[in-house]
Formats: sequence, structure tokens, C-alpha cells
Amino acid sequence: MPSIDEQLRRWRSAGLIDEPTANRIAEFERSSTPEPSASRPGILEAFLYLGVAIAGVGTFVLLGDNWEQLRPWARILALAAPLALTLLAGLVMRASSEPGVVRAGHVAWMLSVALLAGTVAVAGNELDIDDRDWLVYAGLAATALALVLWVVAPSHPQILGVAAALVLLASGIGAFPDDHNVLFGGVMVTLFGAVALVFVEMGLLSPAALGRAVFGLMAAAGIYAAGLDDDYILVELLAFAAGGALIALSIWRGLFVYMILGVAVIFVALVTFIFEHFADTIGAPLALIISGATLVAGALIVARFRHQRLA
Amino acid sequence: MRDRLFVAGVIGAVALLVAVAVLALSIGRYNPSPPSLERDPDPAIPGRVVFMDRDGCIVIAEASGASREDVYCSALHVFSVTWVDEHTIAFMESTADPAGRGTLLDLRTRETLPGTAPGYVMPSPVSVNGEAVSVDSDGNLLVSKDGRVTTIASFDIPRNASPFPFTWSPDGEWILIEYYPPRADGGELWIVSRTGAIKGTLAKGVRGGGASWWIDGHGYTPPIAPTATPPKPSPR
Repeated sequence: MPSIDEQLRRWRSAGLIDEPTANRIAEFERSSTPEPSASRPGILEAFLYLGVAIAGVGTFVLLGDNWEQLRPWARILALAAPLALTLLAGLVMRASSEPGVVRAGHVAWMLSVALLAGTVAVAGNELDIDDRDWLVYAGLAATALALVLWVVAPSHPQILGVAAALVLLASGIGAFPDDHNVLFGGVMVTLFGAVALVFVEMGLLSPAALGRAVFGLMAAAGIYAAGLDDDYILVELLAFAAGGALIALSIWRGLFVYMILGVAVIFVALVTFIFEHFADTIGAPLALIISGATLVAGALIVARFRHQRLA
Repeated sequence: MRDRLFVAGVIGAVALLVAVAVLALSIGRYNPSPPSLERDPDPAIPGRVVFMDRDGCIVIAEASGASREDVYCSALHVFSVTWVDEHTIAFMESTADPAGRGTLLDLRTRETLPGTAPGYVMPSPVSVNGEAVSVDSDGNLLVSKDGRVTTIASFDIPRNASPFPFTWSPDGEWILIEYYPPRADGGELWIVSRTGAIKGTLAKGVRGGGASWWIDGHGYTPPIAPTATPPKPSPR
């Protein structure tokens, strides 16, 4: 995309605007656009995250090696202490005037959601609570914290935190029955994703771009996973309906991300369906040919839609 | 901020509602266990049953559920517990006897005699009356004799956990069943009458490895099966 200065030069050359107007526009754009170096993530920030991630992995490996030697309270504290620290660090960093430090604060808060889930899970395990129950408790606690953090700071890491916590809760609900139930868990992922997606499209859940991607993915992947339960062929077909709904949403809202998700879920569901129900009768090679043809058709549909949008 | 609170409230409420409904209504959880005989004893069920609990203790319970008593606890792995006579039980104890003959316990004196137990307890699906018992994959308790199969009871069971008829009572009127709920801490012992009219849970938190039933005047079941190779202790 050309810079604003280049565009102004072109418009002035074409006689669309005079020079004083061009100068006023340039001045306005300079004053209203934040300094790129301050607002964009830099290489130093990337190294900072990498360093923290490597140190975190080292800490967890060290903990894992000594896990069996730890007393129950020490195991719980091993997760609860980093949880308190990440919450505090996020609070302090968000008060900074440096955008990079504020972003790091958001990431710290996102990590605290995972640490809370881990703390509740370990505590539940140490207290001899049935593992199916404490997975639900861990999901609930993580969801509550993620939502609170998102209300305070509606940022990209918090959207990821909310989505991850809802998936954990849905997984816990799916694991709750005596017969581990992918149908139940998958439907829950779709339900939570769909509810969040409604708020994204109402303009109430932001940042919208990431919200559309992750909650759209939840809505599509959840119903696909539910269809993996062998007992209900109808649920397998619902994956196609979900894909179709996402494509319709894409056309209605003019958003390409839903098109990608819709086509992807239909393609994956179709390949699974063909292999599950027809591979024995038509054979794997023919099933692969049909799947490949479907992929090509999907790609053509996406390309055509994108072309129309760009036109 | 108000909009965000509204969104968080709705998403949180949906999540909480679903989770509470699942936990409170125990959605997807099976509970095939009959009513507890310990809470509500049935004097019609005769005799005494000996079994292992999850703490490694040998327990003798009135089959009616009226009372129970720990008679022997061991830090070693105890299995294959059986009646020998009215006042004696036998059991195997890991590493106690390399020859694999086990230990006798005198219930009057609580003295143990290592290495004198006669053999190993094996499940016995056939009663003294020649009736055989089994459970099909749908949780139906089937009794068969002379080629005729009768469903005497049905249990709502999960896919990967099925009750296992361990033995008939010595008088052939009752069936002792082991059931291991998924991911539960220990198994359960159920008693079902031959016709299926009476059902009860005698014990929970039971460790696998055998149970044995004594009725005065009838002796004990299952019969002891002397074997050259000891059966592996149940991991459950």
C-alpha cells in the first residue's frame, strides 16, 4: 500500500487537491498516527518473549524432574506463586507508558489464566477430587479469570486466554461422563465459540479480527470433533452445516476469515466422511481422488470470492 | 466498560450454567449400583462374605449388610482370600511364600499359619444347582441352565465397565458380583438373588483379588482351585 505522502503527491499531480490542502492532510496524518517504533513490536521485544519462554520451559522441566519429591502443598505453591507473580507483573507493566511493556503485561495476564487452571487442577488432584470433576473446576476458574482480565484489558492475549479457557472447560465437560464423550465436548466448544462470535459481530467483543478467527475456529472445529463420535451420523452432517453457515456469514459480512474457516471445516469433514463411510466400498485411492477434487473446488470457490471482494 | 461487563457476564453465565448442570445433574455419569445393604440390611441374605478393601485389609461382612469387621491388615499385597471353614480363612500374600501356598487365619485367635493355605480362588460362574451366570455387553444379568437363558436383572452400565459375576452363594440362591466404576477408587460388591428380585450393594472401595461366601451348613464358594502357577494379583 502506498504511503500517505505518495498518495498526496499523486492527488496533487492529478489536480484533485491543492498544495495547502495536501500539507494540512499530511500534518494531520503525522499528528494522529503514533510513532511506528513505539507502537510496533520490535526485535528486542521478541527476544524478551523468547527469553521468558525458554526460562519458563526450563523451570517447568526442573519442576517436572522433582515433582514426585514435592509435598502436596509445595506442588500447589509451585503453580500458585507464578500465578500471583504474573498477575502482579501484568498489573505493573500495564501502567507503563511503553507500548511494548504494556503488551508484555497482557501476555503475562494470559499466562496467569493457564497457571490458574494448572493450580486448580493440581489442587484438585492433591485433594483426591475425582479427575473428571476438577477438570471442570479448572476450566471454570480459568474462564472466570480470563473474562475478568479481558474486561480490564481487551487485548489480543486476553482474547486468546478467553478462548483457551473455554476450550478447557468444554474439554472438562466432555471428559465428565463415564464414557469420555467427544460429542458432548465438541458441542460445548461450538456453543461457547458461537456465543462469543455473536458478541464479536455485535461489536461488543474486541479485538474483532482475532476474535473472529479464534471463536470462528472454535465454532467450526467443535462440531467437527463432535462428529468423530461414531454413534451419530447426523452430527457429522452438522459439520457441513456449520461450514455452510460460516461461508454465508463470510458473504454477508464481507469477511474473508469466515470463508477460510467454512471451506476448511467442510473439506476436513468431507474427507473424514468419505474415508469413514466409503473407503471400504470405493477404496482408499478413489476416496483420495474425491477428497483432492473437493480441495480444488474449495480453493476455486475461495479464489473466486476473494477476486469478487477485491473487485 | 459496561458493554464488556455485559459480554463477560453473558459468556460467564453460559459457561457456569452448563458446568453446574453437568456437575449437579451428573450428566453422562452411570450409576448402576443397587441400594446399599450397609445402610439398609436385608436379613433374607444368609451367610458371610470375606473380601479385601482398598486399604489392604481383609474384611468379613454379613451378607445381609448388617455388620462388617476388619480381621487382618497387611502392608504386603494380599489377594485370593477364601473361606476354609467356619472359623478359618486363607489368603495369599505377596512374597510371603515362594511356594505360593499362602496363609491361614484363625478367626477366633487371629493367629496366622504361613504356608498352609490349600490353593487359589478362581471365579466360579456355575452354582451348586448347575445354573451359570454371565453379564452381556448391555448390562443384562443372564442365568442359564439346560440351554435356557433368562435375563434376571439389567444394569445401566458405561461402555468400558461391566459387572463381573464372581461366584454363586454356597446354597445357589444368590450371586456375588464385582463391579469397578470407571476411574473410581476401588470396586463394589453386589449381591443379586437368583431370580433378580433382590439386589443390593454389599461393599464399596473393594480391592480386586477375590471374595468368598460362607453359609453355615452349605460351606463356601467359590471352590478353591489348586494350581501349579499362581494367578497374577489383580491390578485393581
